[in-house]
Amino acid sequence: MSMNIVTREGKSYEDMWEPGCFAGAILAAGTVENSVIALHAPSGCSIWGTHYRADPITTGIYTPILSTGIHEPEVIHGGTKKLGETVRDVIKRNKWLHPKVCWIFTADATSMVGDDIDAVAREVEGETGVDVIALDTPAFSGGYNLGANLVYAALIDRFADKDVKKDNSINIIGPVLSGSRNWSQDFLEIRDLLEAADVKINTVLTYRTNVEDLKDFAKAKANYYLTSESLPNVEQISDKLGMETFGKDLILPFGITNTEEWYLKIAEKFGDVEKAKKRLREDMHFLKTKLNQDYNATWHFHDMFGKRGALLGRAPFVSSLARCLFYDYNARPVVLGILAETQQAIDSAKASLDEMSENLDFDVLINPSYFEFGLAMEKAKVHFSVGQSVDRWLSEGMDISNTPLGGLYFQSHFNFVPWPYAGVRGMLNLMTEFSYLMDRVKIEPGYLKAQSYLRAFLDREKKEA
Amino acid sequence: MGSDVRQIALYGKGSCGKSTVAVNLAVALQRMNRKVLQVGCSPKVDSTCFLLGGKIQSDNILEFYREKGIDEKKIFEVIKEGTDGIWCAEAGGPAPAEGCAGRGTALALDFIKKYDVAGKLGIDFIIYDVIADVVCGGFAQPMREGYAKEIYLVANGELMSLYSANNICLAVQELAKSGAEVRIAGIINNMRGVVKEKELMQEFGRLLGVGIVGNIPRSELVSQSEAKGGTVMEKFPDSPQASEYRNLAKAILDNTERTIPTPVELSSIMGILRKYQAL
Repeated sequence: MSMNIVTREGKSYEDMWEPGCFAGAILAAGTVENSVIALHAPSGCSIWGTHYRADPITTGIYTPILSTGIHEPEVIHGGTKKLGETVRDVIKRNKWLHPKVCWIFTADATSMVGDDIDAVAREVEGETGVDVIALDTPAFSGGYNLGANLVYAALIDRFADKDVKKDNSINIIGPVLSGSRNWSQDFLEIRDLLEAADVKINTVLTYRTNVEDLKDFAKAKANYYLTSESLPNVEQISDKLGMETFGKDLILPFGITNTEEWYLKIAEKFGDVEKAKKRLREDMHFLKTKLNQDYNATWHFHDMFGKRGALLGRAPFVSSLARCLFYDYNARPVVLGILAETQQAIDSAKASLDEMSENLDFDVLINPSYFEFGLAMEKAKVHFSVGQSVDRWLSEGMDISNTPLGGLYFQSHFNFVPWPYAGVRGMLNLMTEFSYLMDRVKIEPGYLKAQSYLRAFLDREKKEA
Repeated sequence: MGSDVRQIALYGKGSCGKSTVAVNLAVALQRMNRKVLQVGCSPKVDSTCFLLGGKIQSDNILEFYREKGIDEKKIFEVIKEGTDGIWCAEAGGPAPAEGCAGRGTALALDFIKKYDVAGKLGIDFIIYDVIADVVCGGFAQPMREGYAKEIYLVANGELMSLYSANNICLAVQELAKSGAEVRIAGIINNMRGVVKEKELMQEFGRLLGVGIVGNIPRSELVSQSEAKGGTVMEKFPDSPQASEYRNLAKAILDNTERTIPTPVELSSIMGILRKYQAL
């Protein structure tokens, strides 16, 4: 039994649906209360930027975005005039929101042109009194973790007091970075669990964050990150504020086994282990009462048993969900597509999956292209796949039933049930999602095959070879 | 653009005299019955200044494009007739420290090609006068397919001028490797007056595998003619300096050299300088 790591050596292209730095910046900034955003970008980037938003979620807040929509003349002559107008307008038009922060983000073209976004920020800040924060966030500089990292660091730098007396609390960093499409409900459950174990939460970067709350950011003993990715700017600034980094190698609490491991470790360090155990018992009791004598639940676990699955998504989410499928369901997650921006996230995923390799053969594809992932699914003869809404058609084109549980694209967020995937109680939601999936596994394959252009394409390629 | 239109591009370090060479060469060629278009590829829009009576061209392609848009008719509003009927175009570009001049140059040249400016004006010789070094892809546009395949390095015996010429050769070598037909046609030694400059440049050319197409001596007549708002060819047509430009024009017309150069390390350039300048 082994974990087979598949890297992309020798391939220079990447045909993955990966949101870039400015999309991450918009996501992070979009969860700061009284924020408005000016995106300095041509229309193509604007479309993507404005579709990676944090507001189309249950409990989300509306964050207005206005784009400069630059054209060729601005690329050649510079676009600061258009940017200035856009920034002024996005503040003025949203006075009802009482903007406290206006963000300026660049996309690829505007970053290359090198417009002086800081000068525009200073000018409008002077005129309006609103904090204007300009960040250079081209997609070619990195992915959405990098964008969030820049926003978080800017928030700390701008609003946090430096000399604050420490207590034993923690800050939670990056709820949006977990990779779950249900991240807001997951975060609320995580917060609830932590509070039940007497873990004191100081501030959250970012979930409905008010900039005034950030004043006391440095009071916390540690930052607990809901991502395994490196966030260098945040870590650097937090180091200077004397705050420790925690949670980069801690499994996310999806499923029963993961939740138990996660909860006890974090309670041991920052809270009360006995209280955590008590809450675990309560939640298990809750789960049992909901499932007791539920005939369909029995069917569901029977359906999932031994099924071969493929997972594609952000590193911390996929590694946690894979363990949930294996340990809680006895399913076989045999193809894992890990999307990671930093080595830290890759290493953390490998470490958390390593234990599974004692009892299961599986492939871990690091940042695979779509075709590589598709071919790996085909080779492994998987029954189902779990991914993001944007890669659903890849699986279905391969005649494999799919459910999108990850991703941050707006189409991933057609989910109106205020219930988490995370925690023991979140298991009910995961079971619902997986039971729909199992239903489709039974009826879809023939139907998908008949419709599949991709299948026909691959069959023809095989025949010609 | 018809295949009978000869297109050359002048590249070289900033302030090495590319525009001075270009305007005098343009007049010399025009007087040899060629119909010349000079295209300034710099946001400074000063390439054609001395073909237009010492005035900066009022309209340039990119500014006009921004203000009014460009189409097959409007493009001719920004191409002005200068000395002896030479057609003058300036690509234009952003103000200093703003925008992307390289992208602008590429776009302006695309307009000239797309709207067949040469064909419609009966042009048979185009001179692209390109800003300083090949600092980005936009400024390499004149070297690409459909533009000038014939590159002249304007250089002198000073270290940084040689270094810049060598860098341009690197760009040409790379483009040639990828299948482009661009070649170095020669070095124009626009002399600065350093010791043994002709010999030094000859040796530099040998290292690069490129010939010297002309040695233009330093002359006070250049600044005197510029003070009068014109070219040496126009203001001092009977001077020895004007003869040098005529000789250069003739040499270029007769020149069939097209070389993929062999750029060298900085140490080799320093070696030549030591040999002739006793550094």
